[in-house]
Order: sequence, then structure tokens, then C-alpha cells
Amino acid sequence: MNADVLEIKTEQLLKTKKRSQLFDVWLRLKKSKAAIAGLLLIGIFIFMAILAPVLVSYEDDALKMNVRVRLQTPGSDHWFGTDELGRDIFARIVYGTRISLFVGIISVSIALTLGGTLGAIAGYYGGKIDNIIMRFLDVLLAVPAVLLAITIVAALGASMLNLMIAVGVSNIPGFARVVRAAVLSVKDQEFIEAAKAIGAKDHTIILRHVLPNSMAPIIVFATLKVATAIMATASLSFLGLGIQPPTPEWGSMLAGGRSYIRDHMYIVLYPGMAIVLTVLSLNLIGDGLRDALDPKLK
Amino acid sequence: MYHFLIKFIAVIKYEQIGGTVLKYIIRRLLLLLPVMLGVIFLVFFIISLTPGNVASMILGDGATDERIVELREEMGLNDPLIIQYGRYMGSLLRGDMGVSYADGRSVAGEIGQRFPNTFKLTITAIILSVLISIPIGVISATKQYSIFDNLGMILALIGISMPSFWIGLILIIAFSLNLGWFPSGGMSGVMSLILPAFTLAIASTASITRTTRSSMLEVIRQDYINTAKAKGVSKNKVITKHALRNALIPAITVIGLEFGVLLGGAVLTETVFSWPGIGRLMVQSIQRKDTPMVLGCIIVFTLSFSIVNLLIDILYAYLDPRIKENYK
Amino acid sequence: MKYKTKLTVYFAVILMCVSLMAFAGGGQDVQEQTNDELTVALSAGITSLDPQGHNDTKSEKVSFLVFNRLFKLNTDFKVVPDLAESWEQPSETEWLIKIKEGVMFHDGSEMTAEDVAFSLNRSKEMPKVQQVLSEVKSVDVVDKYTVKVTTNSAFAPFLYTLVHAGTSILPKAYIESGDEFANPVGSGPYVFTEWVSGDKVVVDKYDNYFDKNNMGQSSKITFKVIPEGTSRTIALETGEVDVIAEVQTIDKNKVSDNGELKLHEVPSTRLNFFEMNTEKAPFDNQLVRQAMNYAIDKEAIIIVALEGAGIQADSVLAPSFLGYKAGPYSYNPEKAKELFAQAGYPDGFEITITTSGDDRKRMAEVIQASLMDVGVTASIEMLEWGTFIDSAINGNFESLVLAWTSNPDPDATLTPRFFSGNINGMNFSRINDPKIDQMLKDGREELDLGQREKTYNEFHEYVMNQATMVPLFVNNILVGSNASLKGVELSPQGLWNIEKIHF
Repeated sequence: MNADVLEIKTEQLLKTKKRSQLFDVWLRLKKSKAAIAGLLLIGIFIFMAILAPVLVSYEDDALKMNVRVRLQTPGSDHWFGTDELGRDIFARIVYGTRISLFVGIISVSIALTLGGTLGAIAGYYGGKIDNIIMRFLDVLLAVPAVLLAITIVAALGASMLNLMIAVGVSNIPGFARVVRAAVLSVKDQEFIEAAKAIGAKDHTIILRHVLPNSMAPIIVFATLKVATAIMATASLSFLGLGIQPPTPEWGSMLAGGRSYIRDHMYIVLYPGMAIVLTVLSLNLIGDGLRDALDPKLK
Repeated sequence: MYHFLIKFIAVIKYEQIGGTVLKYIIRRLLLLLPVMLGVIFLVFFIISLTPGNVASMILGDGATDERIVELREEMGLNDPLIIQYGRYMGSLLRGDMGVSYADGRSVAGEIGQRFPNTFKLTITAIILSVLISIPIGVISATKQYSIFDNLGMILALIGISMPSFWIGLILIIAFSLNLGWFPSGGMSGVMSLILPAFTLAIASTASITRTTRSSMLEVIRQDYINTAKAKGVSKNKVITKHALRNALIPAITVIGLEFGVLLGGAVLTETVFSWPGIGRLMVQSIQRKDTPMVLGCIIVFTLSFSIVNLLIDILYAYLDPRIKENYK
Repeated sequence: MKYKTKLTVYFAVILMCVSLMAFAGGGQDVQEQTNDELTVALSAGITSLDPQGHNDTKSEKVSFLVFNRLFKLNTDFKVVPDLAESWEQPSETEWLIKIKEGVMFHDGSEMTAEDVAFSLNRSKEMPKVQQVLSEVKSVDVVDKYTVKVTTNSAFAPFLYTLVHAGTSILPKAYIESGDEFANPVGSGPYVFTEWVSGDKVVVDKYDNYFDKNNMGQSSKITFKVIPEGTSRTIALETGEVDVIAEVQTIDKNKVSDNGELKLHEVPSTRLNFFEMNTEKAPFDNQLVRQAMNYAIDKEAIIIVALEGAGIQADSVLAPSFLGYKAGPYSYNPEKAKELFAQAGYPDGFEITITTSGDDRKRMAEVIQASLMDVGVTASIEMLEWGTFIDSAINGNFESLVLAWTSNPDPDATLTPRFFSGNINGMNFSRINDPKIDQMLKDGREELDLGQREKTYNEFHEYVMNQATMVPLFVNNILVGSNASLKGVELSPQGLWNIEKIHF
């Protein structure tokens, strides 16, 4: 058998494996009512985020102060009421969705890229490199994630970019560990051996063969981590260390509405619900995916 | 948990087994040292990224350039980071964390004054979590797919999805504003501890419940449980004697990890409830641009987290004999 | 049987943990509500225990209990003697002040003229209060109980300056001991006990207080910091605290409608303002500063910050002051845009508004929203109270939102706030204008009331044209207390004579 044939065979092996695996996962995921509910829910939020400008006006509804209609209880004019400056809470939540999802996804991407690279290298090469990377991760892991994020923002200053960096960096060790474990689990399988045998370069093997086949746990983990990242974003903004007013962010909306909770509970109720529902939907999907990928736990 | 603890203490008394555990503890302690050194360096490095000139910040805009240079020199800010770090470590070992930029008071003193409050809050929260979550997790597993199980799991999932500061606000509205049962903030006796501790406990309760349930399920399905059942051992006994012990191992790891989440949550919970702990101190210090205090707080947080994880690991070693084997 | 055992173990564990909880929560701070002790809620922590190391009304509340000054203000804002026994004026610039004999500091030593001279001289050097006695040339000891103060020139409001916390009399020996106010020693009706930064300050009654008519009435006073307005009101309702020094306006009716609580309201001299740093662009441009006066919607701020219950401010003092004159501005975004264009900023600019506290944050947000309409992008920087004041003094800001509570004489506000010598003091806008300095000097030295009024009239006009600030509003001060408390007194500066409050 010459090398070309071997390569083609390997490619085919990888493709069929991938496709059938994904399809199986979908079939199993479909059976879980919870996961479907989660998908629907997050679908609504994504829909809201995309269609935000169609639904409401950013300038006029979400940003512009209008003290004549401040602190209105929810009704037909303002579905979720208005806040202390007379801004429409629904409009702010809709635009807040954009921010939360954006920050959540970007910070997880940062974590995935940096952590994933570290994890893949550690797992693939093993030995001394693995040891060094793992000790470094131990250090990062020794600081509770939210506290690490707070420290980073405290040092760099409160802004959206710094917030994403902070939340991203605090999630590096988690991703590194998951990717490392995933790489370890496929590293010794025959198709990797095969790829090595045909002389593929290390990074090609990692990127084209190892990672695609160890994607499952990473996807689960990433889904769950977007949820945590959204929570962390809201937490930091609530403390005044994240997204700054007047940008409509759920956590900073809660911070602003805090003084009004006695008579205008809805000011903190709806943004809080938005956080809970988004995070919940991602957790439902993550759980569903995990069960679908690892049926024995079901 | 209680009888494990008793047994654990008993174990230490027996020299032979105790020796193994002791070896393990020493090894873990030795591993902890470089990690702590690394962590402090990491935090030190992050804090040093703070833009702006500390000296001119302290002195104000009116200060002359010479004075700024002088102060920088006095504070050792011109030295390379590693030297500053070494100096900081040196004083840290003597229990000196420097003085606050904001009011000139000793950082260690301030933290020492506040740490017990954070300790009270987090310990109460973790005890609450364990007390609630382990039984629910076990019952859920033994009655899988029952109404209790389904309801429990839905609640647990909602529990991990709620931001603690929001729960805190809602609890204040419900139990403090509407019902008037508890104070809404501050630290004034046992009553004032309940709402913040409960707020802080919710997320950990939810995730420990989930872990207990799933590891319990895994254990129940294993053969030796069936064997025990077949031998005619009563169901309750199987659960308590065989399954629970093995199922607790992953649960305990999660308790350790949750402690970290709890410490992060303490920053928010203390802020919402005006609880005078180091979490609130840290947030205040950030608003004060009080770098030494922020550094002190984060180091104390991290140290506590590491120590708890060390304790968890030791407990873990006792519960899971395989780990002990490695250190014989 | 087996089942029972398991249950027992479980209950034992619960019991153990509950008792642990009780131990963890209890131990200290279990407040037996003895009617002898008083708890007062403050909205921010004090910044210093050194009465000459701060100039803010929160720290002042503690300073006034632990220290005395030569004179004090009564609730009508009249000057009455405190440590001073008698005083006379040998000449226009000289004051002979005799202090009471037998005033004992908390450490048991007797107060002498030596301490008085030392303290007044120290006051002149302390950065945060240096402006208070800036007119004082020298302070000399005449005999054991008498000092002679010489002023630079005839100084009409001299006695008024001696009521400021910054002129508190400190024991010389204590300051020289280098304790740095870890355990401050004063002569006041209360002795310092404990300060947990950002959390609480505790003082105990001083039984040996010299003024037997004004002895402390409660055996212990705890100042508790509760930054969040709603929490403060709730704390009052639940009895956690007995007095709140600042009721947030939205909770006004909550306090007044509650039969167990009492709302005290008094018109104040508290001017809330938006101040611009005239040393930093774009606020170094007078046109921009004037434009800001047109751009900010004060009415909206009053609605949001005070639920509409405030008086719009149009100049640098409250209207009740001698020589007041309103500035020429009214809300007019179009005019503001025009002026910005004239000043060379047709497309607006970016600024940072620095402030501290929930109420002021809301004010800053309204200003931010107002400015958005005229093309100015503002970001808000929130600082902790003490740091905020420091930044204001040091000029580490572009613009800020703050309030100033005035003592009765106009000069007590205008000189600290506008005199060029008080840059790096309370002249936050850092305006340095010889004409302003001259007018202040004239006003200070003028003894004829009519002429003085005219001087201040011109001053208002000139300074509002300089537009170093946008005056926002003057508000009533709201204090809430337990209805069964006696002796709650208010002055235009808010809660007053705290030592008299008791159950």
C-alpha cells in the first residue's frame, strides 16, 4: 500500500467517523426535551440579538433619557417598564442580549484559543513540555476564576475589551485541561498512528486529526463556559468593573436599579431573568450534549 | 460526613496507615509551595500592569517631577519587577503586606480584622450546601426519574444558572423588605448571617447535588452493589454502606472546587449585603485604587482556596485507598 | 432499627453544624438592644480620624464627637463658644482668646494654650484644611489659657472659621508621639474606640467631659457605613440602626409614613454641582464651560436624584446667602451646540465624569444622557469616597459631581472654592484668576454690610461668567430616626449635636 492510498483511506475513515458521530449525537440530543427547550430558548435570545434594531431603537429606546416616563410599571407602552432615567427596560434587555452573547462568546474564544493551544501541546507531546504547562496551569487554577477576572480588570481598567480579556484568561486552565484530556484520549488511536506513519507534520496532525476527533467534550465544555462567562460579565458589571453605563448590560442594569427595588421591583426582576434564562438555556444544551455524547451517564 | 471525619482522625492515630497519609500530606504541602510562589508572582504581575504612575497618583497633579522621581525611588518602583516581587515575598513571610495607599493603615491588619467575617460566611455557606445537597443527590439517584428526582434536578439547574447578586437582591426583597424576617445587610449577629450565607450557598448546593446524583447513579449500577443486594443486604444499608462512600469521592472534589466559586461569590454577596469581609474590602480597595490592599486580598483568597483544596485532597486520599497506594 | 441509627447520625450532624453556625455567626456582635447605645448609619466611610486630615461632612460627624473647637455652630448656625471662655479684639487684626480651664483630654492631660496654638498652626499646614485659616498670620501663647491670633488684615468672618472641624484642638503631646491617629486623643464628649475602615466607627461616652451641660447622652455610639440608600432605610425600619444621616429621597415617604420612625427635614445650604477642571482640555476653554451650563438639564437631575423635590441652583451658593445673584444660563441644548462649535468643538468631545456614591452616580448618569444630546460623550468613573476627594483636591479628574455644604458666611465657601491659593485644596476647578482673588479679598475685609453685599453680587456675576461649574440644585436634608429617640437636632448641615441623641 503506498502512502497516497493510506492517506485517502485515513481521510475517509476520519470523515465517516466524524459524520456518523455528529449525526448520532444529534439523534440522541433530539430525544432530550430539556436540551430542545434550551435550544429554543437560546434561539430566541440569538434572534433577539440579531433583530434588535428591528425590534427597538438603540438611541431612542435603550439610551435616551426621558424623565417624563421614568419608573413606569410594565404595560402596553413599555413591556418591561422603564428605569430610573425613563429608558425602556425591554429595549435595554434586547440590546443587553447582544452584549452578553458577544462578550460571552468572545471571551470563551479567547480562552479556547489560548487554553486549547496549551492543552493540545501538553497532551500531544507529553513529557517535560506537558509538565511545565501543567504547573503553569496549576498556578492559574489556584486563583478562583471570578477573583482572577476581577484582579485583571482592576489592573487594566474597566472596559469591554478588558472584561473579555479578564474572563477569557480566567478560563484558560479549564480549556487547557479539557483539550489535553481529549487529545490524550485520541492520541494513541490507529488513525493518528496512520497519519504519523505517512509523515504528516505535528501541527497538521493536531489540527486536522487529533482535534476534530476530540471535539465532543470541548464543545460541551465551551457551551457550559459561555454560560459562566455571561454570568461573570454580569457579575463584574454589577460591581462596576465591567461594562460601563449607559451601555445596556444586564449586570449594570441591576446595579443601577438596586436603589429602586422596593417600589419598582421589575427594574431588577427582568434583567435578572434575562441572565437566568440565557445561562439556563446554555446549561440545558451543555447537559444535553454531554448526555448525548456519553450515553452511559444517562 | 461526620463519621468519616471521626474515622479520619482515628486513622491518623494508627501509625502505619497514618504514616502513609502523613507522607501524602507532606508531599502535597511541598507541591503547594511552588504553586503559591507562582500565584503570588502572577497576581503581582497582573497588578503591576495597572496603567498610570502610582507615585504621581499619590502625590497628585500638583507634584513636581523631582518629587515623583523621589517617591518612585523610595517605593522601589524603579526596580525590575522580579526584585520588587522578591522584596514583597520577603516581607510577606514576616506577615507584612505593606500599607494601604488610601489610609496608610497596615494591609495585614485590615485583612486580619476582616478575614474572620468572610470565613464565617463561606464556612456557613459550604456547610449549608453539603447538608442540603448530599441527601437530595442521594435520594434523587436512588429514585431516578421520580417526581422528586426531576424536580430536584430542574431546581439544581436553575440554581447554577442564577447569579448570586441577583438572588441576593430577590431575597432582600422577599425576606427583608416584605416579610421583615432578616436584616437586609451588615453584620449583626446570627440573623444577619442567614440571607448572605443562603445566597452564597445556592450555586454550590446545586452543583454538589448534581455531582452527588450522577456519581451515585454510576456507583449503584456497578456490579458489587448488585452483589450486595443479591446477598440480601437491605437497600438502605447498601446505599449508606457501599454506594454512598464511593459516590462521595467525586462529590468531595466538587466541594473543593465549589469553595473557589464560593470565594468569588463572596465578593458579590458581601457587596450586596454590606458584609464587612475581605470580598467587600477588595471591591472598595479597587475603587480606592489601593493596590497593596487589592494584592493582599487576592493573596489571602487564593491561600484559603489552596488550603481548602489541600484538606479536600487529604480527605480524598483517605476515602479512596488507590490514591494512598501511590504514596506508599 | 438500622434506619433509626442513620437518622440519628444525620440529625447529629445537622445539630453540630447548626451549633457551628450559631458559633460562627454569634460570638461577637450579638446586639442586645440596650437602650443606652446608639447606632447611626452613614452613607460612606469616614476618610480620616484626624480632624485636620479631612474636609467632609461624614468624617466631621465623628470628629465633632471626639474633638472640640474654640467655637461651634448651634442649630441656627449662630457661632457660640465651645472651648473659648471669652474673647476680645485689641485691634482689627488681633484676637485674644481665653479658653476654659480644666478641659481634660481623653488621656487625662489638661488642655492649655500651648495645645491651642499648636493645633491652629498645624491646621494651616494640613493640605485638606489649610484654606480654613489662610487669613491667620500667627498664633501665639499669651499665658497658660490665652492665645493671641493675628490675621493678615481685618477679617470679618474670623470667628466663623474657628467652627470648622479643621480647627479642632488636639493635644500637642499626642501628635508628637507619632501615633498617627491610630488611637486619636481628643477632648470631646466621646472617646474613640474602634475604626474598621469602610465598615464602622465606635466611640464611647467620655465621663470626664468638661461641658457638663452637653455631656454625651448615649453610652456608646456606633457609626455604621451603609453605602446603599435602600439598605439604609431598611436598616432603620428593622431597627438595626437608630438614625440615618441621609435618607435617600425615594424613601422619604417610607420613613414619614412609618409610625415607628420619624423623618426630619431641613432646608440646607448644600449645593450640588458639576465642576470642571479648568486646567484640562476642553474645560480650559471658557466657552466650553459656559456651553456646559446650557447643556445640562438640571430639571431632569432634580427629578431623577430627588424625585423632583429640590431647588434648582443658578449660582455658586444657595440663594439665601448675602450678595447672591443667579447666573445667566438656562437649559438650551441648541445654544450649547452653538457655543461648542464656536469654541472649536463642532463635533463634540469626550469627557470623564468622576464621582462617588449611588446618588451622585445617578446624577452623573443624567448629565451623561444630557450631554449625549449635544454630542458630548461622557464616561463615568466611580471612586470610593476618600479617593474621590483626594482626586478632586489633586486635580486628578476632568469633571466631577459633588456637593458643598456651606457655613453661614459666604466667605467660608467662596475663598476655599475659588481662591487661587486653594488650588490643591478645595478649589477643585483650579481657577487661577487675580480678579477673583481680589474680589474675595475685598469681600472678606469689607466690614460694611451693604458694600459687602455689592462685592459679592459682582463676584457671582463674574464667576458665573467664568463658569467653573454648573450649579445643579440645593436640596433639603432628610434625616430619619427611630421615633422614640430624643434629642435629634438638625442644622442646615444636617444631623447636628449627635451627642445629645438618646432613647
